[in-house]
Amino acid sequence: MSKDDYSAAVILKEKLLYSIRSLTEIGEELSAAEQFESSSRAVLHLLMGTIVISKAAIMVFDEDANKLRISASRGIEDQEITFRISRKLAAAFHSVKEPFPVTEPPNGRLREFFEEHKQDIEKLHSHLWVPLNVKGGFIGAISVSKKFMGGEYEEVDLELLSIIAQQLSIAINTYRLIRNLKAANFQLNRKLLELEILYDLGIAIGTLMEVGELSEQILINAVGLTDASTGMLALKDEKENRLVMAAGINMPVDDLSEIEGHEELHGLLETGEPWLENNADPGTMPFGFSKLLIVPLQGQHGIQGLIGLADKESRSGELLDFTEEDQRLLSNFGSQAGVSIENAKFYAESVEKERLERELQVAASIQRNLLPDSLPEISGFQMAATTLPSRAVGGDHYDFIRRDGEYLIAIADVSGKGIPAALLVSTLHATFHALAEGEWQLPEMVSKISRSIYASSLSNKFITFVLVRLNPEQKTFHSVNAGHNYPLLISKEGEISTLCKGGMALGLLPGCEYQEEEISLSPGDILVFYTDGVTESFDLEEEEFSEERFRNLLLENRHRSAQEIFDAVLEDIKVFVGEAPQHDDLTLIVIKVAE
Amino acid sequence: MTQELKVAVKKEPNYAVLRTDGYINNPGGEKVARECYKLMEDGYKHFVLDFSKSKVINSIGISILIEIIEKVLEIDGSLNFTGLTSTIAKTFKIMGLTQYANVYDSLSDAATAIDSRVE
Repeated sequence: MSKDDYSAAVILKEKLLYSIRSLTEIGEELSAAEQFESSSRAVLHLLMGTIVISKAAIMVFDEDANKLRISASRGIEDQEITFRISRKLAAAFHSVKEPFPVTEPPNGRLREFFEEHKQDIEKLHSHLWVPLNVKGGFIGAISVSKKFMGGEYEEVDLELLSIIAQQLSIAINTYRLIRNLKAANFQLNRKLLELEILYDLGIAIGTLMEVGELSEQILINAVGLTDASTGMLALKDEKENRLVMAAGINMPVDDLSEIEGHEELHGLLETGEPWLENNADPGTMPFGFSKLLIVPLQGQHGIQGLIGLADKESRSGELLDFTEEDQRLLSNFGSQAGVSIENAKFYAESVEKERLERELQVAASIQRNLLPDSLPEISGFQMAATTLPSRAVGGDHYDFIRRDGEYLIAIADVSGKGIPAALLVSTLHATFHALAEGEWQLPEMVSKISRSIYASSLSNKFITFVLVRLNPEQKTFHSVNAGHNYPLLISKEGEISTLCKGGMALGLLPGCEYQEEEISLSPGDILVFYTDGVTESFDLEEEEFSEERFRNLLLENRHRSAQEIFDAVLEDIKVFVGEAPQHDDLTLIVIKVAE
Repeated sequence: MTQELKVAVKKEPNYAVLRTDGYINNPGGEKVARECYKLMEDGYKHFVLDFSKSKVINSIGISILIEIIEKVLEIDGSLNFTGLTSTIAKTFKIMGLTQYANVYDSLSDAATAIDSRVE
């Protein structure tokens, strides 16, 4: 061996050793890194250093998009260069196993490709291309420029390129498998999440949640599961027969105009059918979306509302169509959610009812306290009185106030029933007690009470009222009747007269004048004050107790004590009414002059 | 009509906090990713994502978070979550994010854990 031959052999040996070391490093890099992007950059640098080139690119074929894109490059300015690769062109690349010059592609289809993309190939500074192939097909390519300082590619360089291409191909394929595995795992987890959320909704059915909070939670889950960019949940307002927004994502919750303007949405409440649109004219659609999916929230006792989703997202940013699968999922969701919302509504209603009942109990207790603690014991007189409200609180009232040896006796019946009537009773009670402190004559006093009631009540509210001033010593009384049913004065002999003098009911007009009458009492006389709840008590056949029956009953019992007369009336009403509910407040006062 | 996610960044010596406000979907997730990658270029390796004001996430938002986790792990960093609603916490657990990222009850818990790892 000559000295020159020996030197050449030593250089070749060192070059081969360097190449083997490079291949080892490339292998290590490809197997160690978790991200293909970073490892492909490292591999590119090793490749360029080993073969001594200044410009190169590794390109990866995206099968889904049919595009060949740069994954890593060096010395190339335009990173966005992309080649569209048809299935046939991919097959043409797959048939090539060796590096080839871009000026001499090995088959006709590739020649056409390189001719067509001449400008981009120049931007890549391509001299050679090496297809990256695996058994399943073409997966990418390496582009390398001319060698540094115009050196020629030797056989060993081409062999090295082929080996690196093989390693890279295996690595890309492995990364793809891992990526697909991750995607499959992601989808599996997503299905699991769907089941978990449906399960959670099932639990929510038995859990007592606030309707607004539950609606928001349902919408969050539905939007998240379907990848919708926007969502709304509207509940049916049974009283007003309209939809009310309960929750919105990327949508204003207080804007009802969009819902109210679309009859289709209200139609869904009738049909219970889902509504899926993927190519609608946005101008005609609720909220201006072209892709939307709306399903009813089906409860056990009817449709509770609607859940609507719009604009399904994709990772690429394009909007996807809603699928039958989305519809099935959302319908399942809607059924579960409907029952949950129904339960939440029932719960809210029962809580509200309980609260109202508690408040009514307090109001009833307050109203009971407005009545006299006990009846006054007046020498020479017997007394019995009660008021029985038809509801927890009522509009009937009676009162006794002692004033300078005399007694003010009042009975009142507020128009209407329940809380509004009870509030007016409170006003009457306060005014009456305030005025009782003064030295007013009865007509003046009633007039002042009327003005006060007029000022503090609605126009359709009034009070029928009788005020009596009883002088026990003189056995006389004065009476003013403000529109009340006439109190009865029954003599020992059975003559009935009525106390009718007075004026209009309290609160009807701002200024009313009243007149009074004065009556002397005799032993055995009976005064009966009552509200229409007595004479207008009804039995199950809706027969009225009647004024006549009441008067006859009083006459029959007029020789008995006040308490016995009182008891007889109440007992007779009870027997007459039977199982029928009390429909009006009832108040009765019986006063008898001792014989 | 859709409201854009807001991201507020606070840089601390050992980590950066990203407070989100809104829906973590495709555009929202991309915004979080862009902020994280910008911070990575500035040398940050540890990130706390405070989702107190984000109640909704979809599968695309999750896939973007997975991408961020992969990039952070590549530089030996960490992704840490705080302020998760129970729904998002459950979603992260089922989707496997909690195997590679940490979840803390509060920002101070996350800060303490990161500081002890770094120092």
